[in-house]
Amino acid sequence: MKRILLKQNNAVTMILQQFIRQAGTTAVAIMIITGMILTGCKKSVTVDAPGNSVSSETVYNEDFTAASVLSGIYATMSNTFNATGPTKIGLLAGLSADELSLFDISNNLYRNTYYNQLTPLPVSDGNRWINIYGLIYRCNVAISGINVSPSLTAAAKSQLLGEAKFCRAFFYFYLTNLYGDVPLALSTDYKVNSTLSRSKSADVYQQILTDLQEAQASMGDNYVGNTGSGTSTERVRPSKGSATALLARTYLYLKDYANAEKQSTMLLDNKSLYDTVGTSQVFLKNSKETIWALQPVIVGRNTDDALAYVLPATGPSVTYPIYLNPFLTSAFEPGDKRKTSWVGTATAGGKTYNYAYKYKVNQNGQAVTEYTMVLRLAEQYLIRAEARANQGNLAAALSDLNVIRKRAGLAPAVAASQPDILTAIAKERQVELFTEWGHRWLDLKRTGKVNEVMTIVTPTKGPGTWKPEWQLYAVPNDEILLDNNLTQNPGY
Amino acid sequence: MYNIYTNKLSITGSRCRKIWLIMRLVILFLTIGFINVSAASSAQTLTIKGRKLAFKTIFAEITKQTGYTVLYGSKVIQDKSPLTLDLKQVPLSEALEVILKNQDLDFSIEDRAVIIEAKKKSLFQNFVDRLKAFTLRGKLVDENGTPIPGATIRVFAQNLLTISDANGSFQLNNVEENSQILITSIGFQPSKVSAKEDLGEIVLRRSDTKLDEVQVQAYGTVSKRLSTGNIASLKASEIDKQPVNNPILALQGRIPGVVINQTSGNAGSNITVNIQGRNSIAAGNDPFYVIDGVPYPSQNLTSLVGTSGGGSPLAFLNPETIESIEILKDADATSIYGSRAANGAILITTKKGKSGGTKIDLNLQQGIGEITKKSKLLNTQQYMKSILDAFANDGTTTTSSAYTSAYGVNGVFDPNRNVDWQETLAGRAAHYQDYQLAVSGGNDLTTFMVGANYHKEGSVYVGDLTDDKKSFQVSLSNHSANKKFYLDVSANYLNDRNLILGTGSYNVALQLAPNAPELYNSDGSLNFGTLPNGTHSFNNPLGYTLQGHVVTANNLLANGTIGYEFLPGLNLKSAFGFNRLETDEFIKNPLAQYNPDYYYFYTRNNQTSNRTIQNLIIEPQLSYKRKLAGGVIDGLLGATFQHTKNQLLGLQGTGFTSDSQLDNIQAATTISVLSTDDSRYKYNALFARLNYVYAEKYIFNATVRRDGSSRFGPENKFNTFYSIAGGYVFSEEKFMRDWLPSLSFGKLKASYGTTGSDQIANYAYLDLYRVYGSATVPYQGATSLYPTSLNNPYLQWEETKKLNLGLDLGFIHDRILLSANYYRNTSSNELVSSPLPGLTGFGSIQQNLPATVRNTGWEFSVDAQPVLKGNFRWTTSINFTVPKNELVEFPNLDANPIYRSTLVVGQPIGVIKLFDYQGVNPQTGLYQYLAANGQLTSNPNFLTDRNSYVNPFPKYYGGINNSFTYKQFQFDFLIQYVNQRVLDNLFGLAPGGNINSPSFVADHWTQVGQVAQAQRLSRTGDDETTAHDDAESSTGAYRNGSYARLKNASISWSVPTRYISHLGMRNIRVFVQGQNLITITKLNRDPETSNYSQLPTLRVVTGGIHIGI
Repeated sequence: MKRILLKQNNAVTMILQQFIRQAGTTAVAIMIITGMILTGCKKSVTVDAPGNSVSSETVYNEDFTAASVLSGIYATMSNTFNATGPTKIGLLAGLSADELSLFDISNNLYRNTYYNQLTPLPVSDGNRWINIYGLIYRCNVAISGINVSPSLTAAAKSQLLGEAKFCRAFFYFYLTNLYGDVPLALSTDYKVNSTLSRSKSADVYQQILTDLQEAQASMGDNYVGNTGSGTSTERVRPSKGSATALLARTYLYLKDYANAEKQSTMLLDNKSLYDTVGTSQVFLKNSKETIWALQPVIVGRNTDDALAYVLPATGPSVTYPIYLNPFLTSAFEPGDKRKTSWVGTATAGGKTYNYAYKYKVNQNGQAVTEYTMVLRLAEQYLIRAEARANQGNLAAALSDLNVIRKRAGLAPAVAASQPDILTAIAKERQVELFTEWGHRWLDLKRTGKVNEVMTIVTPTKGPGTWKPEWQLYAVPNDEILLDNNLTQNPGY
Repeated sequence: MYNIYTNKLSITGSRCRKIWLIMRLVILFLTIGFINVSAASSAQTLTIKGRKLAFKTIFAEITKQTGYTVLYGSKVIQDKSPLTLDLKQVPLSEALEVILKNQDLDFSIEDRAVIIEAKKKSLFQNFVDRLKAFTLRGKLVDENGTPIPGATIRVFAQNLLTISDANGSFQLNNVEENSQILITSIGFQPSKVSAKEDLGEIVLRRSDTKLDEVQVQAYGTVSKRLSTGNIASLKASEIDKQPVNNPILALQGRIPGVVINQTSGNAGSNITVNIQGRNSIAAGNDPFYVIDGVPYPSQNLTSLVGTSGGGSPLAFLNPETIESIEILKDADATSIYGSRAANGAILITTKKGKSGGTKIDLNLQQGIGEITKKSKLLNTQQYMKSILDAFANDGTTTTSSAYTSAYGVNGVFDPNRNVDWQETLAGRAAHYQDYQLAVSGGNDLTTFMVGANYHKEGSVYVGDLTDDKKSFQVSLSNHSANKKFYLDVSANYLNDRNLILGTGSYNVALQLAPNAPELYNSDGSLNFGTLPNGTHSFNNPLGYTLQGHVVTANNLLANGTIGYEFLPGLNLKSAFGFNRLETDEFIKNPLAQYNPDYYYFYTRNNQTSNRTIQNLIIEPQLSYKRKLAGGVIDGLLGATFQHTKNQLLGLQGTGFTSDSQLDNIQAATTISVLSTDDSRYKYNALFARLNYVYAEKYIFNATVRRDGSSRFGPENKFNTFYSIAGGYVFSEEKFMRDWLPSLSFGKLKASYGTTGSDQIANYAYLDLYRVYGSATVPYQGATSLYPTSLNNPYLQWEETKKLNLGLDLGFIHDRILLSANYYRNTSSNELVSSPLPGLTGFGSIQQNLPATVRNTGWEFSVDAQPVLKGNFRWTTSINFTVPKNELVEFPNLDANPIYRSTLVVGQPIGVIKLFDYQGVNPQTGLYQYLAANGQLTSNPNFLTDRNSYVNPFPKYYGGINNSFTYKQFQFDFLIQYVNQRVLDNLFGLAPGGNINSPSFVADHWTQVGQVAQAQRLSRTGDDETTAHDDAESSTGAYRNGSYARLKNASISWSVPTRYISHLGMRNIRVFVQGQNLITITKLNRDPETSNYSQLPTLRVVTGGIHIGI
């Protein structure tokens, strides 16, 4: 045994000596050493950002890519018809109010919204909450990225910062109007955002005003190109006018009538840029009435609104379940051009259905002639009319109101008292702004008419009676589970 | 019984069933054991009659009659004179005693060999012999004269040991004369010889027992005899008998612990492979595929195909070029693959040339395929009644618009027409052709193989749909004259043109009204049922035939190894591999495929995409094998450098003015980008393995790997994985041989170790902005960007700890091999998408959660040769697996909206949560369910009332393969058995509408008090809709989906050599073989495909001829 061990020792020595002599030793050593270095070195297993994307480190270094981040927000907003789209605010708020009717109830989201029977399940929300907060996150990253960027041109930096703040204000405006008190996420840090509690609606409005004032100050009158500077005939990026328009609306909602009048006047006085046009031209792309519109982004398609609202000749169906509520169609006065120009009809089973026909091109493959309107000048006339009426300036209020009535081919309003004028303005808003971004639903709520109107309307839509709590939508349950500081709206 | 299936019942029930199962299993094994014992002893008798028989002749006769090798030194019988014998049915050992009487010879019988040697000498003689100790030399070769390196040569009596060098030569010092020498090598029968100075060339015979088969393992080979890992293999001989499109499908039913399913019966469609269960909740569960040392993608590569579940990249391999497929399951076998093999590994080794004369092999095969099982549906009469009953319930009259659009009943469709749409749309015979030519040969220094294959498969669907594969492969291997340097290169190229993947959906065949009109107009155009008012009644299901969907794949696999043996046992080698897999797809969407009523909704478009995966790997390795302290030590040190590049470009053309322009994307007025990918994956590692075998009895194996992957954040790019394993061959103990002589082999083995999974998307840790939207019009003429996700720089590996305990037994000279393995794999640090409130901008962040998933199970396999008599051979192999999967831990599951509705702690991952189905309420006519509060309801709560669970995995499964050979005939068949519960095709999609339903619906409720199978029908009722939708997620929809399937059968006849040898041919074999031949199941659908709306698996029968020259 000992002998064997001794022999083995000898063998080991021999092998080692031979080993060292071998030329291959060097190769082996190199292999092991490089192997160790390479595998121990982070760089060897680090890859650059993929060619089809940009990393957060470089995206705000150039005007073009920084502007692209904001374009991404508009493109997402424009792409609403798909289930993944962000909001469908106009359609769903229209269903909640007395504006739209539902032919087929197989879509849970539509049915619950229409019956005013929302539940805190995510399906009752259509992902509206998380989609809007997703867009707010994109505003927040843009604001912080652009703020610290050392290399953007001054013009673009100012404009893009304005766009981002304007968008943030726009989204919070809808959040607080639909949900009441909402968490105010202004940071990009998910650890901070995931534990936010609700902020008072007044505080949310304060933030909206701050953002809009800053946006107004940092953007120019002209519409800019896709790099955030220069000029463009396309009215598809927010401009100073967009901030002003939303500011006028916000002051109106806050009942700060003097400021609302002041802001809307700034737009109404700028005739070189904005003016009313004939009813058939309002929704054509880049019409002079456009303050801000969204360019369609789906290949071969015009607006998603046309696809959602325009009924085929065969009438409503599972695929096309939306038509105009008789409460709306009966609000049109005889001879109203808007009834003929903006409302279509389809007859099925001996029954006539009216549908929103503001956007007409619902066929694929047609040239793009219509853009989705977000802010337009007619609303500014109605804002100023309401602001003036509330400040007692009745004649001026009527004159603003009659601009809109005249365009619709109607005789001047005859109302004389302040309440009558306000009622006339409210009715004018109903028939002028229908199916546009939920105006009717929001107007009913801000004017305190919602309970009175919906008590009558809700039973006509389906089972159930109106409850005042339903004027605020439910926060999705999962959000409350995931954020311990978040509470549900009453009644859910 | 199944309807009242509750959680509580299932636990006690399953325990009982398990005990019963094990009992049955034990009985089964014992029975087989007895069959074999009797077969064995009857085979060991000898009948020899003759005068003046030479010993050589006698020994040859023994081998012929018993199959036992007789080992003897020619010196030993040199001077023996011939014998006259008259033995009739004398047991072998008695016969040997008679034969060797007075011959001064002893014999012993070991391992199916009779060893003849000179009689033991006296003590004195031994002493003299010791003085005569000498140096022994020899050379080991195989039957073709090729040297066998790395074999172990051992002298037990003196505890001497050596290993043969690259030339097969060996040398041992101080060997005593006539000592017994044992020679063992992987793949060869152990051989015993008596020592002498110059042994000359010793020929080792290839082993035909599975114990000594060469098994490919990670970075090397091993035999089952000396392996500590849980490795299963399938050899070319078994793969070649199966007419499969995807080589992985050849494993179905044959490997314990492995579940393989096709997503659809379409050629080339995707497959799912789970080795020892699913480990990961959210990350991938694919095994790690390695082809000749080069990692291969597992996930489908198509980007436009939707309906057929994409394609499997494994279908881009030609099954006939595969020499063996090894499935690596436990930590011992997989830890050396580190972060990539948590779900096991599948190693595919391609065929190489063998030395000897040049051989030409030609294989021609043709056959047909058809769907295995159709669903039973309503006939026209039942269909019409179901709609009319629904109308009656809804109060719909013949004047309503709903009635006028119900063409199946309102007279527009022929009320007497009754079409089996499954037969009409998918009932064709798919033609199958396969031609293979291979030329191989070489000498002891150089071998080569060149092969070409053409494979064409049709489809059961209507249309000119084929899958064409052309492949070419070449391999070359060379050793230098001194055998120190060697080079191996091989390349495989395959081109696939698949028109099948874009076929219509099988769902249409299940739902189309049975009296829907003819598919074609008299002019050959598609019929859409034009109505008098110009509208159309019918969406023709053959629209897809106008799509011209083509998937073209080009797959190049090339690899090489260069090695040099610096010292005996010390090898430096480097493996290089390259794989480039390109898939091109093209689809055109002409308007003519649609119902003209909907033209306004669609635009003509065409789509093309080009995806490339390119993989480069370099793996330098240093291995050293030598004797050490009475055993053999084998060490390996290596490194991996891998770089994978994925590229994808998908384009869409729109704005065509006519359908005829759609083949040309240049005719589009707008071309937009549908999808892009440009990602890289870098992976480096350093690995080592140490293996020590002492006296063929104690085996120790350890591996370690340090991994770095670009998929993880800067904080966690590296991790270390390890395994440790031991084996104890207790049959080598003398007491075992004495106590249980029929036990020829017994080994206990155990392994424990860690592996990881990095099967997440590349760049998940990076904060990236991507271009918004696929195929969208650029906003303001420029790209728009959006942030893709919240990034997590702390992402790291999912880790699986694997424990495996195994027992391998061989009885009656290894004619019966039993193998049992217990595994327990615990996966933690699960990579899941962790939910966040929407306030954060995203609903989730990719995180490692301390969730734990455990897979445990028992795997059994038996390989036996019950009859080996004369011209008749019967071999059988049985495998059986009882798996269990459990989610052990998931913190805060209730607050997790992503997983709380799909996971339950204590249940398998992917558990199916169901309402407790209680049939149709005779009063209301609605399906009813037992709610959590104990009440029956037809409107249960989705969150709280789904309290019955169905295991998504089989409860147990197995297969029995039998092979019979008689003279020139060979007959094989494999029966696969799976016990599972699956979603059956019963309730259909909202019956009462204009779509057909399963035959179950024929018995629907119509009046109060009626006991019916299906509920009252309605087209508009909310209550009916709710109750019906809930039925699909109730225990009523899930049924015993167990099935037994004659998975494969083949019969062949070889022309006897005497008829063809004068023609210069080696062999001619004709054969008929079939796949998925017979299926026994209670289900109303094919039990294998994941979903009843997918095309059932195909039954393929082929016949062919093999010619060897």
